[in-house]
Parts: sequence; structure tokens; C-alpha cells
Amino acid sequence: MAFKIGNIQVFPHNYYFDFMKWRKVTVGISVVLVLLSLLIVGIKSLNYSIDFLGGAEIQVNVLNKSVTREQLQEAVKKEGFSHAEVTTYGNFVARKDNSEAFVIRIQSEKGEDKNATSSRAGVLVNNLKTQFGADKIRIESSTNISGKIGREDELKGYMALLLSCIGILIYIAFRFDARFAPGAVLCLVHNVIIALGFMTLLDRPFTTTSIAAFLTIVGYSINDTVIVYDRIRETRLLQPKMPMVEVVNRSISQTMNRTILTSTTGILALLVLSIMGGGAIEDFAITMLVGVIVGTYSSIYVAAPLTLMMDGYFTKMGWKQKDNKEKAKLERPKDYAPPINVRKKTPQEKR
Amino acid sequence: MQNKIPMPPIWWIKSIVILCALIFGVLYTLPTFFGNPSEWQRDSNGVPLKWHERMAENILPSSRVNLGLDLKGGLSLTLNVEVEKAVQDSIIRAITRAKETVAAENIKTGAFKVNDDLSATIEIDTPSHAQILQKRINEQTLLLLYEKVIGNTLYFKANRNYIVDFEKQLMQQAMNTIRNRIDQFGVAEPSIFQSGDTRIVVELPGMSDIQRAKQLLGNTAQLDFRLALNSVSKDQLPSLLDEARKALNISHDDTQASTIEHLSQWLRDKNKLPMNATIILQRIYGQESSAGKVVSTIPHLVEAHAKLTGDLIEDAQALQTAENYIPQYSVSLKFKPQGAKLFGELTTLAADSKNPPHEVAIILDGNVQSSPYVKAPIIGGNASITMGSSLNLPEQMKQAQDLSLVLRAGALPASVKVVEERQIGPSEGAQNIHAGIISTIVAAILVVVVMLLIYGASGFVANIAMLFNVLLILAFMALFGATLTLPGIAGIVLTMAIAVDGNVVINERIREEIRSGFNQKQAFYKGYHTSFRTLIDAHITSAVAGIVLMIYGNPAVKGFAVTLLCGIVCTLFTSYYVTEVIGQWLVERTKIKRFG
Repeated sequence: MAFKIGNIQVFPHNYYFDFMKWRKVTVGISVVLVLLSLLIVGIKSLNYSIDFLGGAEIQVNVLNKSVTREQLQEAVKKEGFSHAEVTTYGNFVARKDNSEAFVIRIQSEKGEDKNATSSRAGVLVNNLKTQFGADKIRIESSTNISGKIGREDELKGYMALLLSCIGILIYIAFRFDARFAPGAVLCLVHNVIIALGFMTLLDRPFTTTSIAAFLTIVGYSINDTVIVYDRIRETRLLQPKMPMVEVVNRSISQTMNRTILTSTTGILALLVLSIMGGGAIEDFAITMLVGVIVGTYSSIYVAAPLTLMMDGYFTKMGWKQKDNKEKAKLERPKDYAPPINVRKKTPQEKR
Repeated sequence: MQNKIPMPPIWWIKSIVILCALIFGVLYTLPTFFGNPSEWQRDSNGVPLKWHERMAENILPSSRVNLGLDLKGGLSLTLNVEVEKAVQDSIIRAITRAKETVAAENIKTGAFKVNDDLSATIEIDTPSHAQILQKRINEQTLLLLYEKVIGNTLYFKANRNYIVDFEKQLMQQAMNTIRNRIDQFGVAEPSIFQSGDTRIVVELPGMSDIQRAKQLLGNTAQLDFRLALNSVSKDQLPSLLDEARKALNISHDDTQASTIEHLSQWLRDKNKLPMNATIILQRIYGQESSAGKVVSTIPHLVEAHAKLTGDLIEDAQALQTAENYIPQYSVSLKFKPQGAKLFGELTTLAADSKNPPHEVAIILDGNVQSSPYVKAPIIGGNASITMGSSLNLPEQMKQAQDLSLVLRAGALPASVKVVEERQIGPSEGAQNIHAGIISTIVAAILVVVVMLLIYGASGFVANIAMLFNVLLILAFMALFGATLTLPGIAGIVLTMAIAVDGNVVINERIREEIRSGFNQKQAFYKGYHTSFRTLIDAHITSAVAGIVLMIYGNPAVKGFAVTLLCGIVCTLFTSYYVTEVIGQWLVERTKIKRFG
């Protein structure tokens, strides 16, 4: 095979890989991962940001590293905030003015008036300014949120997510086949839960931006899954006699090149974002990174095995696959070329 | 098998469509890069000095992509309009007025109560009078109340549709008022929009004085005038409040108006206060050394519901006056005719010899601003509010000016509360936009290089399509006047990476067709033909999710869904349509060896 620039084949085109051989293992892994994620979310609970809980967030830039995190922490403690944390912010790449960014997050105390938190945060800002002086620190941004704001919309958001899953289910069941639909939707749920678990594990805050990231994960994974499904549908139509396992394996093998390429460009872009974007972008990019990796994996190892399972179940129930010969003939264009010969690599090719 | 396909005539039409899209994209993206027209240098006729700016003003559309506050720095406030309370107040006012009119007809009515779910109960002497009371209430209020009589109690339920309309009207009024107030700031390009059912978001780029903004927009909202009552003596009020605090386990730090209302409610429920009375505090500010801090509070016993509110004020002016030779600031008010009549009635009641305190409390946002003695009815429709005399003079002046400004700009129909405030320094905004641009460029270069390495000529076409895609997305954002934020930049970068997916699918397909024995041209057409269905399915499933989110989601999710749908259309157009036309030209008219 010629590896010329501009004609690179990432995954050998005529290679038949028995992806489904591992399906029991991978489905097991997925189930474990999902359960683990649910457990993590259950135990640690989502690290809701002040967007949802209410409170204050102050970004402090320390110039020339003249103040350490411990000093800031002490200053915050002195104000008597019990639910405050000081974290570094977007620190992968040095900032333009050689400053270091810290975020002070103050959660509203239970039962405390929201305005009280806001005014206490104001006092803190003033005290920090006088304690360290303008030549050492700069208050870059401050945010005060009353907790009511997010709660109100949360349920509506969940409803929207649920309904869009149902929408996807219906579309796939009509456009493809009923045996494809559950796989696609479970794949979505699987991706979102694992991404959630990962975020909780890494103590990433769950902000309103995270919601956008999760919706993007849904969009990406459904896209990925449908492209694999499309190939399965086509292969099944052209090779009605081929056993389903083989159909799935072949389809995944044939789309492997595309899968590798698309996820590579996606992952590359997200890596750049999480390293260079800083701050609010970092949260988005890291969540998406997990989403893209899990989404790529699950379109192969969650959606396809589930389709296989559903197929077996349907066959058992006596819902035989319709004889596609007539339909296939109609679908096949006149100058139809037989599908690429599926074969294992010959010893000569391996050289 | 040589299957010659001539360049179909439809190719030209397709090219023209693409050209139009390109022109649209460039036209709508350019204004974003021309900067703010208000900052251009202009000659005496108002014509910009630079030629490209002159051209921009004449040819280009005015809609641009707005930069979010996180990119340019400034202040963002989210205000919650307490609509429910306003609706409740309107029902209470209506029932009170109705009670007064039926009292004139010699029908006695007892106490009434309005619940949180906007239902009301009124006690009446005989069930037969229910009809008349019902009629009067319906006359007095826009919110039609449905009645039901059980024994001697009349049950009311407000009409849902009317409430929804009323709430919308309140929101509209609040938006207008806030817009008027913002005009007083002189901020360049402020943006005000509704978010959710009851929230208003105000963005003030370049503004840094958060306290002043909050005072003008959020805090100084509702002015009303109430009669002071004497059913409980003034000396007893502090101890009553303490008792309520103890019972409700509330600490002494309760300068909040809502907390006091809560305490008064408890006292009313325990019959320690009459049903028609409530306690409102007057805050006394410290002297110069601790200016602006509340040092003590004086409770006042006043009517529970205001008869006269700030929306009946015609004009307000800040004035410097002198009382006992001490200079002082005050705000003089002129009422609208209806307000003047109500104020006349109120002062007549206050000046009545049967009502010993003779005071009218002027209440601003649930705090008594002043409570002047009224010796004689004031009928002319003029009044004045004295600023707290204990404040230092500059502070007084600022307060008087702010108050007159707010009253002139229109009082808010319902009280508003600041529920969210964000402030981003200008240098942080610059840093963010720098990071955003750099990461976009780096990611774009990476994707371009990967595609060129792997697909050569068709990778090049795909890259053109990808850049075209970004251009179109920006153009659509400008068309809709959307705001570009930091997460938005991240979304665009991700779109770039994933938009090439369509071309990867097509190119892989072309390669397959070549492998199964077709020549380049046939493979090209077949590749595009067969992958069309794949792409449509992949994009429509995403679109299904997007459409559902747009219909049912909250505002933030809706915004995302619109962007998603826009992106899907742009991506399909560029990665399928545009590349096909360019590719067709390459395959048919040039001696390109390999495409795909």
C-alpha cells in the first residue's frame, strides 16, 4: 500500500476486524463504567457551581506571583467564610501579563439571605484590595448569583433532554428499523452518564456551560452512531444472507477510517482548547473531550452490540427480517459493483 | 465501462447559489470586524474619514456579532421581576376598593385574605349580597375573579388567562422602565433582554461601578405612600418585633424588607397586629465616619396596602433646601391628575383629627424614607421627600439625584431584585479574546494539516468548505444579532473539527468506489450520491434533538438549539454542496489524478 502524502489510509481498507468478538467484554465494561459513574455521582454528588447553588465567585489575578494561594486562602478564612474554596484557574498556559489567576468560590450558607452573601463578598473584595494592594493583585471579575436562578430551569432542561431522546428513538425506528433505535438512545444515555461521572470524579464544576457541553455530546454521539448504523443498514440490504454479526463487523471495519479521522480532528481541537483556551473554555473542552472519546467508543461497542442483541431478540420473537432481495434489487443502481471483497490479510500483504 | 457524464447545466446554477452564499457570508461578517461605528473618526458632516468605513456605512448591513461581556469586560445584571407579588397586590387593591363601594351601599363585609395561589376569601354578612360584591370586584380589576359561595364565605379564583396577560404587560412595562433608566447611564451599546418568564438581563459593557448600577436598576424600584396607624403604640413595636424574631428564629440582622414583612405576617396571624396594618422600618444612616451604614432602625406601623404608588408620579426634581438653616436635599414630586386626587384623599385622612399620628409614610422599596406630619390636606398634587438628614451632604445629593432620576424614568410596576451580577474587568476580557483567537487559529491549522495529509486535493477542498462554514455561521450569528461568548468560541472551534466529518465520509466512499473498479469520475459521482443519505440521516437525527430542545428547553438551551440547527444547515451546505461543485469542476475540467 502506498503511503503517499495526500493518500493515507489510516485503517487498512480490506481488513476485516472481528469487533464483535469482544462485545460481551465491552458491554460488561460499559455497564461497569455506567454503574461506577452513577455511584460516583451518587456519593460525591454533582459539583454544582454557584450558577445553581447561589453564591459569589471572585477571580483574582496575582501579578508576578507575589501572593500565594495559601495567603489568599488565609485572607478568605479571616472573613469567616466556611464554604469557600480557592482554586487556580486556566493555568495550563502562562497568561499574557505573567499573572496567575485564582478563583474564590463562596457558596451561600444555608438559610442565609442571598443579599447578605453578596454584600459579604463585596466586603471581601475590598479587604483583599487593601490587604495586598493594587500592585500585587487585581480583581478581574466578580459574580454574585442567587440560587433561585438555575433551579427554576433545571426541570425544564431535563424534560427537554428526555423528549429529544424520544424524538431520536422515533426517527431512527422509522428511518432505519426498530432494532436500531434502542441502541442509539442507550448509547446516548451511556455517554452522558459516563461524562457526568468523569466530571464529578475530577471535581469539575457543573456550570451552565457544562449543560451546553452535554448537549453537544448528545449531538456528537448521535451523529457518530448514525453513520455506523447507516453502513450496517446498507450492508444488510446488499447482503441479505450474511449473518448479522458479520454484517456489523464488516460495517464497522469499513467505517473505521472515518471514525478514526473524525475523532482525531475532534480530539485535537479539544486538546488545543483545553490547553490554550483557559477559564470557561477549559471546562467546556474537558467535558467534551471525555464525551468525544466515550462517544466514539460507544458507537462501536455499545450501539452495535445492542443492535445485535435486539436483532437476536426479534428473530427469537419470530419477527423475521423481511426478505430484502426485492428491495435490494430496487435500491441497487444499474451499474452496481459488488462490494469489496472481504478477506483477511494475505501473508504477502502483511509484509 | 466508460461512462462519460458531461458537465451538467445545473452546475452553473449551483455555482451561482454558492456565490450568493459567499457574498451573504462576507457581507454579514465584515461589519463585525469594522469595529464600533460610534468610535470612527468623522468629519464635520458626520461622514467617516477612512474610505473603508465610508463604504462600510453605505453598503454593509448594520447587524453585527456582539461580543459577550466575558470578551470585552463590563457589567451584567439579571433582575427578577416579582410578578406574583404585583398580581397579588392588584387583587388586594381591587377587593379593597370594591369593599369600599359596597360599604357605601350598606353591605357589610368582613376580613379578606389573598393566598399565594392567587385565590381569595371574603367574609360577607348574607350570601345574597355575594352577587353585588362579585360584580364590584369584577368592575375594579382586570383579573376576573370566579366566585363560589360557601356559607358566609366567598371564594374567589383569578382567571388564569388574565393573569398571564397581566404578567406579560408587567414584564413589558418593567423592560421599558429599565431601558429608560439605562439611557441615563450613557453606556455605549447596552443590551437588555428578557430571559425566562420573569427575568430581565441587562448588560453594560465597559461599566464598572456595580453599586451605582444596582442602585439605579434594581434597588430603587417601588415608591408608595401609606397612612401611618396608631392601633399599636410606637413604643411597643420594637418589642413586638423581637417577640416575632424569637418565635421565628430569625437573627437580628433583618434590614431586608421581606424579612420584616414576614415578621408582620406572624404578628397579624397571632392577632398582635390589626389585619390591615404592617410594620415597616425606617433606616437611620450613620454620620460621616460610617456613612452609608445603617446604625439604627425605627419601626413604623402603617397600612398593609398602599393606595398611592409611584407610577402616578408625573415629574420629580432633586432640590437643595434648608431646614432650620441646615442645608438639606429633597426630591419634589408632581403627581398625575389621578395621583393628585389620591394624594389629596390620603392627606385628608392623615390630617383628620380622629387619626392622631397625622403622618404619611413615604415608602421606598419597603423602607420608610420619611414620614412627614400632615397638618392640612394637600390637594395641589405636589409633595416632597426629604433625604435622611443624618447623611453627609454629598451623599444626600447623590441619593436625591438618583431617586429623582428613577422616579422620572418611571417607577417599576413590580419590585425587582438583582438575582445575578457579573463583573468582568476589561483586561480579563482582552485576555479571554486573545486566548480564544489563538486557540481557534491553532485548532484550524491542525485540522487543515490533517485533512491535507490524508486526502490531498479533496482535503484541500474540504478545508475550503470548513472555512466557508465558519464564515456562514458567523454571518448567521450577525444576522440574528447573536452574542459571541467564550463558550461560543469553543463551540465554533469544535464545529470546525467536526464539520470535516461529512467530507471524510464522502471521501472514504469515493475511495471505496475506486477500489471496487470504477474510474475517478464515476467514483466521484457515486461517492457523492451514496453518502448523501448517510449525511442526511446523521444530520437529521441531530436536528431532531435540536428541534425538541428549541421547543421545550429553557432560554439558554433554546439559544444552543438555534445555534445547533443553524450549524447543521451550514455544515450540510458546505461539506456536501460546496465540495461537490468544486470537486466536480476539478474532476471534469482539470487533469487531477486523484480526488478522494
